[in-house]
Amino acid sequence: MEPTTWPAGTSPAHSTEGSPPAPASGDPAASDLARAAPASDALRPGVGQAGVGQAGVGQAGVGQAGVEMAMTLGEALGRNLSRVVLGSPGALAAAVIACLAGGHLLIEDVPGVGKTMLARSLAISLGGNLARIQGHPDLLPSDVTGVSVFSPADGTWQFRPGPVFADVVLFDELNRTPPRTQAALLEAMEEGQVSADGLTRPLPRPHLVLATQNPVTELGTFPLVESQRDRFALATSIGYPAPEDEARLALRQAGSNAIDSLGPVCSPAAWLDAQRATEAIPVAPAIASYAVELSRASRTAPGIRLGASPRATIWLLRAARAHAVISHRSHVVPGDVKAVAVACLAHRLVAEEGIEQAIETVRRILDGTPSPRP
Amino acid sequence: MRLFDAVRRANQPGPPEGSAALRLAATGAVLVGIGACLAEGELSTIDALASGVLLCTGMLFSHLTRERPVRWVKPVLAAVMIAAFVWFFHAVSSATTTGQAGALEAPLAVLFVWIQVAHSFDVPARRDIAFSLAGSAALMAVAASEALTLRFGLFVVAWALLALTGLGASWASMSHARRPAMRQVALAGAGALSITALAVLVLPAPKPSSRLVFPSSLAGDLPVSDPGGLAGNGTHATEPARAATPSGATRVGGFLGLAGPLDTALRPSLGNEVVMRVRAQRPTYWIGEVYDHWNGQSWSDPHPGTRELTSGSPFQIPLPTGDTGGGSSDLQTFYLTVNGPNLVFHASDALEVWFPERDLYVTSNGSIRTGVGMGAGTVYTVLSSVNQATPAELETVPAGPSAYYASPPGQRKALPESTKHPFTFTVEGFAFSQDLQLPRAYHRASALARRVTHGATSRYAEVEDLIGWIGAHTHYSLDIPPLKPGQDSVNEFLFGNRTGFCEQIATSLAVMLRSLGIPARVAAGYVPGSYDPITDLWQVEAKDAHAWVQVWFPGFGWQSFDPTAVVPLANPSPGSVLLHQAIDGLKRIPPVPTGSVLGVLGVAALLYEWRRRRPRTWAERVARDIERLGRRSGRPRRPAETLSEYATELSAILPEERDSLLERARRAEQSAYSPVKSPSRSTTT
Amino acid sequence: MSETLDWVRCRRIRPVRPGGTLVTTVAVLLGWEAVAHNSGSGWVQALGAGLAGVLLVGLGGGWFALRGARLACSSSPADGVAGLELRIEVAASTRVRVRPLEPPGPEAFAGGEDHPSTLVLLPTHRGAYGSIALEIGSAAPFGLMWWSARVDLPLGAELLVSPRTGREAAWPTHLAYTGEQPEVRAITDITESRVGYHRHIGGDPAGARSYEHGDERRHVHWPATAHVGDLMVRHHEISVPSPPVTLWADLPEDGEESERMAEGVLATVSSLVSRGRRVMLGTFENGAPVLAMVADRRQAGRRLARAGPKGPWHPHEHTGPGIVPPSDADQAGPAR
Repeated sequence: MEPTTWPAGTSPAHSTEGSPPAPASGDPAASDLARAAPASDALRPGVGQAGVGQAGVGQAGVGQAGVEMAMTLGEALGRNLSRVVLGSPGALAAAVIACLAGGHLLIEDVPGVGKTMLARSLAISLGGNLARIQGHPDLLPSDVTGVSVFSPADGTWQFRPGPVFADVVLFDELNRTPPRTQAALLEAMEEGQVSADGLTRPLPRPHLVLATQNPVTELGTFPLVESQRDRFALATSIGYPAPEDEARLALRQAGSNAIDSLGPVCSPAAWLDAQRATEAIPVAPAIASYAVELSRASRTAPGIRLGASPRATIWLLRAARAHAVISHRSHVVPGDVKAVAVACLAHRLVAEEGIEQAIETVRRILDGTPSPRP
Repeated sequence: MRLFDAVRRANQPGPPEGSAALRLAATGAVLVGIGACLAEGELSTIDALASGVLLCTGMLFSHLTRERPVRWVKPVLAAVMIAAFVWFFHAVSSATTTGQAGALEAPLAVLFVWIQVAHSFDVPARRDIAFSLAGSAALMAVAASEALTLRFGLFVVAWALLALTGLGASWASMSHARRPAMRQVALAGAGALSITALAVLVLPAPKPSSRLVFPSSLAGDLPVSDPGGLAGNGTHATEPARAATPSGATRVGGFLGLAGPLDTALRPSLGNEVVMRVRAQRPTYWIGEVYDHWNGQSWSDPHPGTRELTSGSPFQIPLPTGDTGGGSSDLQTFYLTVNGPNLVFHASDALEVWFPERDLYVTSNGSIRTGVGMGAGTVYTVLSSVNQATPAELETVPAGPSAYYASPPGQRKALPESTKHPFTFTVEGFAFSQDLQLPRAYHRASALARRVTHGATSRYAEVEDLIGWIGAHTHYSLDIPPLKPGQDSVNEFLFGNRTGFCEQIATSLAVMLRSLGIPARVAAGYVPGSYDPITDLWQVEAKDAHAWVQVWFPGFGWQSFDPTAVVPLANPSPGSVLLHQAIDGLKRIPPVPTGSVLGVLGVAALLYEWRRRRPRTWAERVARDIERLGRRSGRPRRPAETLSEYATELSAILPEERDSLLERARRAEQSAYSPVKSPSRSTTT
Repeated sequence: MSETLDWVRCRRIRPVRPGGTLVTTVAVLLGWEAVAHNSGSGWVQALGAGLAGVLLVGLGGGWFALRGARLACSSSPADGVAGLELRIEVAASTRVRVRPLEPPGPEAFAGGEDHPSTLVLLPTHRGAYGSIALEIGSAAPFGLMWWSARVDLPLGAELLVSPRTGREAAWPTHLAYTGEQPEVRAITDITESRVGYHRHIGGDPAGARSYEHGDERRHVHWPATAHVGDLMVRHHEISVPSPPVTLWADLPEDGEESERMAEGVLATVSSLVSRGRRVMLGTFENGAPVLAMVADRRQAGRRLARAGPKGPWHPHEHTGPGIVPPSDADQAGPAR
């Protein structure tokens, strides 16, 4: 294949690659420090070395070969996950799509169905390091982003990165955390960086935030703010397993037992390549218009106070690309958009009667919008 | 040896043909051909039914044994075909009357049908079926040769549809397609139709050839009481023609003039029924009868010199008294569609008549009568000589009476040797007493004629002056009050209400000319009628009956003048004038260029529409095909469904198509949504 | 909406042996018209006009069908072997007869309701095909006369037809080696191909082993040879992969001879590779030398498919790939 026929990657992940983002403040001293900021990667040698060592693969990662690599990765990832989480193909697909699309995943379900198990096996499979944050009402923002501590040895303040600096961040029971702490995640999730103590520190790349939350009807929870929800690319739920699967879980043939035998299927660098290859999949104009139609329809749907944002449309297409990849295709078809629409849109809608109504609304929109025909 | 091999190779039938569509279409085309022959009376019902059943049986037999042809069939069929040929030659050579209509066509049709039937038992391969298809065209041609009306078009349309389907199926079978591409066939059919229309417009009209057999046949042998006389004088209602009585209306075909006297006191009521169809090289007035004697109210033909011709068909007709003959010869075949008078129509002077009877009667002034009445379906052919002189030629005849005029030898037209006739009368010394006869002295009419023609230098100018005066001062109307007994219709017309129709107008002109001493008479017959370009026949309706004037021109014979043609319609309403102007305008549009332009525009529009509706991409077409399949299976695509979802849904309904459906949908979506263009050519590494 | 397929149209459409058909048609029409015109029947003439329309459309329809036909290759393999059939999928906008000319193959019908249609190719010789030459024919709509046109149908990916595996070149025993840096020494073997050896030995000496083909004379361990009685060479500790053998396939111009030689080279490479030797194959593509590692028979076949005779190549003018570094050579060619 001739690489020139593929459009160059346009993802923001590419544009920030190699050059640190501008600091939040205009302080010249800060910007000096900011330039030195990549050095902090040295604290975590695993990430940096893996990235350097596989730079060549990264270049070859875009194009047909890259897409095929992404397909292989997605398949291996899915197979790994399905050994642990039984009988919830939708949730597994959403997880793999989130990995490939480079988006964050929100898992909404009742306790005890394997949310954490899914997140853990995902982190292991991706070969990255995992940080787990347990949400509780007393959690502070610095518990998430990190804190600067005074080093008596050389008399300087040193930044201790928080758990958000891991490759895969599992935020358990996000809605038990007060909105202040939730907000600390906002910048990390959207910009891929953390600003603390006047310094902006980039997060590793790729970076995946998996958050689980219990349904908001339960006691002692803080509903996620709209902007926070909008930052999750996908939302899914696992649901109760089938009786035979539950029996296997109970007999420890899967679940936490299986997770011990789980190995990584790729390195973070390969994961990043897969994301880039996925991002580079072109989308036909008709399908882009279809996605826009879906988003626009959600804004005027009855019972919806707040419809899907343009960001939602962007993520709809990204997720559709990833869905194409796990369907072993290097092009996006309308079915991809339809397949990811509920996971991608429903949690962003502010419905008068809760998430069920939002999901129902998205389904109705899908049934009512003419899909593009060749 | 090599020639033998070539012949053997050419006779190898090819692989057995399995296409049922091709076989059915060919069978249908042959059946339509048989039906057409039956409808045109070339096959008996028994023949048609038997051959139809045998044909279907044969085709079925051929289809079943196409893989393993039965060996003994070929010799049997060859014997049957030889027998059919022997029968055909016997039937043709033993036909009693030469020139009988259908004498050749009917045995030919029978021969073709039986060859088809015999052939149908040995039709294993595509080439054999194609032969059947081509043979059905021959059957249609035989039937078409006898077809006179547009009704035959129904057979043509049915046959064309079947033949096109068969040809399309032939290509489908050739290209191993599962079914004929009906759209392509329809498009090709439209193309063929436009070429056909163009060819029909451009090709010269067919004409009867003197080298072939002239059709003639007699149907409904109706008795004529007085041999040599005209059938019917109002005595029997069942007779073919009769003069109208003052109390009763005329029947169709019973034009007042065409039987017995032409009574100008009576008023005709003529319908639109087709009286006869005429095939002719050029349109002229079809003359039925000529009248010499005028009694003030009606014309009559005393036929003093009627002679009987007993030569049998073809009859050589003597030139009427005083006529010069000459002119160009012209063939007309008349097909009667209603019972007609026992008059033989012709153009100008008849020379020969093909009529399947032993005798024929000719009056001294040229009217031809048959010994029997002619029923519907009668056919006869006339070779006429049309001697229409040009105005310039006629101008050479000086004005004034010519009762005893003897043309100087130099002015006489030289007759070609071939048209000289044993019965030619000489002109010199012949007295035109009967053509100058007047029952009384028409003083006013005579004075009027003298005044109108004052200053005219030639006879032609005199006639034209009188016609001009009539045109300017009288009105045409069929609806005039009946003439009272004892009234003179000429005086009534010229000096009374000045309203009349062809009879009054022609009579007045003839009487005025006679009062000037110019020989003139009235002819009755039909105007050419309307021309049908498909059947190439002139359709003559009852209302086309007409009367006009013949004037004697020394050296040129009797020349026809129609004074009615210049008479304006009475009380023209603005609407009718506009209508006639519009119709005239339409008639002035040349059909060939307009037709071709319209044809080209039509084809262009068809092409444009086809291109517009053609899916732009392969994927679009696949999507459309799948949707069409779904619609036919009763599960149309919902707008929200993607093609793949739809194909999945459909495959539940059509499990046998499952793989093909899913694969096609997948490929279509790939084609439509994957923007990667394959590298067209890469020669470097 | 973009289309993936690279559609081609027919140009220079010609009738196939039109003489007989045209003469027959003209004779039938003239005969019919003569009968119709002289028998004086309008319907016979009208039928004749219809016949003329059908015949003209039938004769010329093939031209229109080909004119509007579009062909594309919807799927084609990247590899083939001379003498073995391979299948490509062809999409056609209308029903046409397709007969592959280069590489040849049996005729088939494509288009219509079959989407896509399978076409069998039977390449007789090795070669690299960016496109295949087809003869497209149609007698639409009535099958009365064939029209045909030649088209070059671009393939989705370049089709590399490797040569058959021929007779292995008898391995020459009289080779001369130098101990210098990698050197290519042209010699002539039975297949007339230029074959050279490229040897390099490094690492620490660690004993002696029996002599093998390709070992340099300089490395012969004479004492051990004397001791064992058979030719022994110094054995080196470092376990570098066995040094690559370099073969240059300098194919002649002549087609058949070139084919035989390519078959021999392929056989040699296969044999070497199967014995665990690394082979660096040198070929000439468009006259320019290309030197790259081949890992297996398939890669060698692909290289030989493109290989041609040595041409007037000037390194400074040529912008082609030249000598490909061995590391990249393994990834050469589209991934499939």
